[in-house]
Amino acid sequence: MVLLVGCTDLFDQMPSDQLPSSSAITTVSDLEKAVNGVYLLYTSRSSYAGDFGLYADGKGGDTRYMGSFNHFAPITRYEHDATSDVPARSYDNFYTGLARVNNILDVIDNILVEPGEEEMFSDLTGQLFALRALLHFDAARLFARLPGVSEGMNAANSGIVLSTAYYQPDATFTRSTLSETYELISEDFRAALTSLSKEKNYGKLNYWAAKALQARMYLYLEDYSNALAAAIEVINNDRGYSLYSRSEYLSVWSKTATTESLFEIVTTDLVNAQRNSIGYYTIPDGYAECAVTDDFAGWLRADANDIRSAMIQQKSSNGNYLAWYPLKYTGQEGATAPSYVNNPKIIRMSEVYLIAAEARLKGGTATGALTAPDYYNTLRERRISGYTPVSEVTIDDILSERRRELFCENHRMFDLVRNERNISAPIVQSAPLPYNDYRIILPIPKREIDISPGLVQNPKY
Amino acid sequence: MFTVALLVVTIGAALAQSGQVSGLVTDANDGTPLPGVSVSVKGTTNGTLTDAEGRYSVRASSGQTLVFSFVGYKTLEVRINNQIGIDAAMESDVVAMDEVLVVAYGTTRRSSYTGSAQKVAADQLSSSRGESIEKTLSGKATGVRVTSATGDPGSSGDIQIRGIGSITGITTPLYIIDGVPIVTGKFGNSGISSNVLSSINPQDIESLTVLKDAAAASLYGSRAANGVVIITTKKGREGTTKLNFRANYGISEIATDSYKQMSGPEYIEYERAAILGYRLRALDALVPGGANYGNAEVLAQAETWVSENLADWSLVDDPEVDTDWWSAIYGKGYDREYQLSASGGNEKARFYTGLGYKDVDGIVAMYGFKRYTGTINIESSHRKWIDISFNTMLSYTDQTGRTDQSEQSQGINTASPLNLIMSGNPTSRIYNEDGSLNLTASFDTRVKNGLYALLPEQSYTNNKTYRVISSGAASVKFNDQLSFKSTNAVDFFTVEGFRRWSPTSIDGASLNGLGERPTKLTSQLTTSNLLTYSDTFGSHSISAIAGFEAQLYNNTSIFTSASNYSTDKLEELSVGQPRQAYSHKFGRYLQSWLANVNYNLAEKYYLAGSIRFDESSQLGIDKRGALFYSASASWRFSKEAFIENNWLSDGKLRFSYGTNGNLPDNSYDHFGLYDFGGIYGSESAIYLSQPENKNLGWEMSHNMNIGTDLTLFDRITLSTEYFYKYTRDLLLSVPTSYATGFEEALQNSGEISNRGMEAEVHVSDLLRSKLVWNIDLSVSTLKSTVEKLPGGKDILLGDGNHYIYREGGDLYTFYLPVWHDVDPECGLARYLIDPELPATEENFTYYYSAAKRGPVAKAYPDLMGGFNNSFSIGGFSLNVLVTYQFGGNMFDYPGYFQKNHGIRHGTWNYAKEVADNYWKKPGDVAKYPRPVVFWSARPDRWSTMHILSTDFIRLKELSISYSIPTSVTKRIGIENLTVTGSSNNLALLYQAEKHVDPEVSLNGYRTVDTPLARTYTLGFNIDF
Repeated sequence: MVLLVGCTDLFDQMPSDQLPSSSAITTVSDLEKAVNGVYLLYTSRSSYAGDFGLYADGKGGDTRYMGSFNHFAPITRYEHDATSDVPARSYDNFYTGLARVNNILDVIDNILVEPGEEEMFSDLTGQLFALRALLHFDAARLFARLPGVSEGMNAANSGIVLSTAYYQPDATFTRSTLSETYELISEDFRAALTSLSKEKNYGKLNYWAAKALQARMYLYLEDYSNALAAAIEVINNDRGYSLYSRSEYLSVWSKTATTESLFEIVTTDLVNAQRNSIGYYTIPDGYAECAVTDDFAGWLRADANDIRSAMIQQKSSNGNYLAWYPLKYTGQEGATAPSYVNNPKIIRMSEVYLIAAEARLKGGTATGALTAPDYYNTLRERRISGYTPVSEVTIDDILSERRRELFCENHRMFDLVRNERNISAPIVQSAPLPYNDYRIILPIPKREIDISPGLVQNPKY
Repeated sequence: MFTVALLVVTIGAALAQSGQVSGLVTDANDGTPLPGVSVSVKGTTNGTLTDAEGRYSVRASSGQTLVFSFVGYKTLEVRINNQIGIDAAMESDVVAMDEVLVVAYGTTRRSSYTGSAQKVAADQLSSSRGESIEKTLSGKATGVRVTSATGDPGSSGDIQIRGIGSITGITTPLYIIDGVPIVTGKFGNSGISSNVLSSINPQDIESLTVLKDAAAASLYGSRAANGVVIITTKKGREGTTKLNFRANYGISEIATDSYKQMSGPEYIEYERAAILGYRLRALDALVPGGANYGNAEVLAQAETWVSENLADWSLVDDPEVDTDWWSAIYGKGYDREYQLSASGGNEKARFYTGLGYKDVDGIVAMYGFKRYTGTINIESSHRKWIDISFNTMLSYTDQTGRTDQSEQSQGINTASPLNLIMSGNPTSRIYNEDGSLNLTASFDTRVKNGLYALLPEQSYTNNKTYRVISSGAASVKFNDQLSFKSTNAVDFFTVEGFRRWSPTSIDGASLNGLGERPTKLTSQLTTSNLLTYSDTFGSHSISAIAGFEAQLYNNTSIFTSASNYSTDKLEELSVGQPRQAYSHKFGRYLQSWLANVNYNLAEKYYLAGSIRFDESSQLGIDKRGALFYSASASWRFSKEAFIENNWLSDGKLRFSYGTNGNLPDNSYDHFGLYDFGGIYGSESAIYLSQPENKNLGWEMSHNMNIGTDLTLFDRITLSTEYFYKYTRDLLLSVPTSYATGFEEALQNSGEISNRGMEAEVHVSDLLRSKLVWNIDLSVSTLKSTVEKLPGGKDILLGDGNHYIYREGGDLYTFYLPVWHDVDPECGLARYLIDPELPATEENFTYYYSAAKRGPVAKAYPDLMGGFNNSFSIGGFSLNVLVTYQFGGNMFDYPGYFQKNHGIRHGTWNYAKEVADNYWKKPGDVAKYPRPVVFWSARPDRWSTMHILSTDFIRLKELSISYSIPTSVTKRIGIENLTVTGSSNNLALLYQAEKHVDPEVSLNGYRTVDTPLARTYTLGFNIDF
């Protein structure tokens, strides 16, 4: 016991399974693990694997909650004020992701890149910029008006807080303008695309995924020519990304790394959003808080030749919660906990075709562009037996096609709002909800404003 | 009382002309050794003080007279007649009023103590049936608040001494057993709260001392900011070996009617009302201002619709059935306890050994706690110059239950007892006609049937704790004034957990079964080395301590789990497929230098001072060390000639001021750390998990205490104190912007204060007749204030942000929208839009989301205490303890589920109290609104409707015992046989809120766990 006396090195207690920041990231392999640390956030409740995977569907009026466990249902009810959980959790998730990206970028120059590792290093750097672009893009979709329906791209505080550096714990923040927000996103996509690998990379962002997401961003920005050009490049990819066939359509949802999937998040039995996952929300034996409305079910099932009419099923849990449920998240093959394990697809080829069609229809031009009906028909031919191609499409046709193809993939409300369509959400109110209703976007969490007094709240919250 | 009895034991051989005389000085009343007694040889300058064990040795010769003098005792003179050993038993001169206190690094008499401390003796503890020490203290120490978050056997209790010491730092006191600081805290695995203190058997405890002010606690410097509890275990005494056997048998049941649910008929009526509400909303006829509100035609239309569609909506199974799930789940608990001990010794060596067994079955099937303990304490004084002691406590506890809500995170575990009750359909039978369980008896298809879900083969969590606390101390006496004592100890324990979710269980179904084996190994090595000096010069008396201490703590935790079980017949992990494995190690080191001086003049004026320098590995490298100090003084004015009178037996005024410290909860809070435990897909994922703070330092509290102690008519003592504790550099988790990547960062920031009055009255043998009546009354007040916060900004805390910390506000203040009333016209709940504006029509809203939050109530009570009366006559004695508290509030989280006003239709039944008190027709003045199924206005959400007063007066303990006369027991060779009947939590004499148990966690959070039980115990105590 006297051994204890005067041993000053006993003060040097260090954790056994954690490292101080200075020594954590020193090699390219460390860098790869650290980039995984950003992807990891996408498997959590408030990202695509959970609430955000269905967010725009919940608020778009096509889904309803049968269970009343109040996990996903508050989103469907537009029930979010500055102190409630949904905005706080979302803000937390997306900005923590941004901080992780920036914490890595802060030390990236210290990494020793061994000969032969240059390509990997370049690819990982590209992934970081692509992630930063996507994280800002999604945060902007949640907390700021979409560009086309904003009060003005240069209005003060119309954008979101931009996160571009390592911040000390006492840092405070202010909002940018929408144009600054989208300039940063555009810049980060550009930076990413110069260094990303074109190889398929399961669960990670590669060149094609970033390009497709860039196309989506241009569509939101109403920069239709750039949106079209980016979509065309992805459609013409040489790595085998292609549309699902009608025959395989019903079976692709339980599989991973399918042909359409440009970027999906890997969930496993160990790492998933558990009861707050897209799977558990959309089954009657789970929380049953995201079934589709009877109206949507009737509409979707009207054309039996369309394979997508079979993508919902009427189910109950021992007689409770009887409703039509989506079949997109019924469990990954081989999963022990199928209701928890479903890889959310952040972007896939069908959407890219629909981006091309919409951008073209709205006047976009690009080298090698086909007509809007061409893209529209190409997709529908792979969905409908005995399909007769059309020679003209309207924006309504494209929105309907997006609604049919991409339901429960976090698009509906954004698509309606972008196109200045009001939302039919009888759970919230009997009259259609105007596309510029203040509740379309989330409030900045009160805690953030308490910390940063210069941070301006969204109107009416 | 007693006649003055001078007991002199003459030992052995004759004393030479001049030599050493030694012996033991004890209290004539109870035989406890008296340390610090002045022993002098009359007419010479020779003299000494007795040591910590009450022993002395002095140079004297035959024919001289030894003078024993000690504060609070009658001076004793003994003439030496050739003996070499003289033991003396001293008679108190203040009847039963002055007691020996075990304090920091020694013992003292209360009358000479300058600090604030309170002793609780074993017999006061034993009337409580709590499994662990902290629970037995309830109502027995002034200014000490004891609560249990759950009533589950073996679950942790929390205690707070003089208010709330910290916001996010540790608020529990430091525990010292026989001079050794022990590890405390929650070490349960798999979500069960269990305090390692429950591994210590209260039956082995002789007394507890609670140190409250800086003078008392500063010598413990670090971590003493929340007070110190000093535990003294039982020791052997000289004399024949005493054997003691105790047995207790108890029955328990839930103490209150918490969580009662609607009966079948009540449910049927309420459900129909909720469906009508739904239809009215759909027709826009629910809310005033709606298109069809008040339209009689539409109302009739809605009624018709309900009649036609009720069958589709109703979850009524069989309207004839009325099942009480509450009574089915909350049953009777049983407990047994046995303790056998032996103690004895002679002047050379003494021993105490104890063997204990306790077995508690909770009121919910499958919940239980078992404890096996063994204790050996040995003291040796074979050499004059050295005393040696060895204390060892061994224990094994076995706790079974299910994940509880002690962490206060939102949600209710589907397999928890409360959920099983709430999800039970009151119109479903529990059993089928063939006697089997009806597996469609729950609203929740996963639950099936509450009794089925409670089967242990479905799921359970078990924690086994194996602990040894072993210490050895050697005290070397250089001369009569100077001695050195070294105490070295090891506190080692393993908590071995096991969680079982069978493949068919509620939680295990999605994983096809889960097994977890978490194990935690903890060791703490401590050393304490003290040099003690004491001497008297005429009427001046001085004692001093200087020392060095160190403490090395290590913890290893290992976690393994398996899922996808190949059978549900076996539960070991090897029956499933490997799932997770990880381990962590944590280490901490603390090193301290300390010194203390006590001086008194003529036993009238006392001065004391202490300093301590602590260094901890848990803080930033430049902030490791801190100096703590205290200064105190007291004046025994009753000794002044101008005050001395007949009625004032003793009177003292005390003052102290000093500092204490507090450390972070975790070992490595000052580092910026990358976590390596993440997985993405099949690859590792790392990320920055903690921000760096190189400047993390000590949380410092500054304590002031003023007190008076009066003894009147030799039988009434009255102590009053005022304390003011101001804490700076709080270890505070300061909220950070999410854009930093963190929710919060631990910083030394913010200030809080705690202040209050304490008063204690003890009346000893009030009547002075055959009927002995003793009274103890304690009252304490508390005001805990947030003084400063970083940047002056509010901080919201709690999962749900329902606590606010605001400068000038109370600690533990609830921050919620104000539920005003139920509108008698429309039957909907009305909230205040702005809680700071008056309750007028313009400020009302029916929509929760339109109501702003405000600070609405505080959790902690203003006033609390205990009132104990004991009577004894002949062999009978009666003891009645009443505890009370006023001015506090709780946040009723289970009420959020139980009073959901139709929102949770199909998930749960509703609270019984709602059945009698909800709005049915215009004009009704009701407490609860009309129910509406699935209404998005969400009147169930957290508001002041969930804030309930915790005011209560509780008959906490009642015991009656009878000792069979010795004349009878002697015939069968028994010294003493006592039979005791007792009850804990027998009744609430007053409660502001019916239907809830007012004893909730310290922060006022009522969890969804099983509340306190009422116990009835029959006990036997045999000495032979």
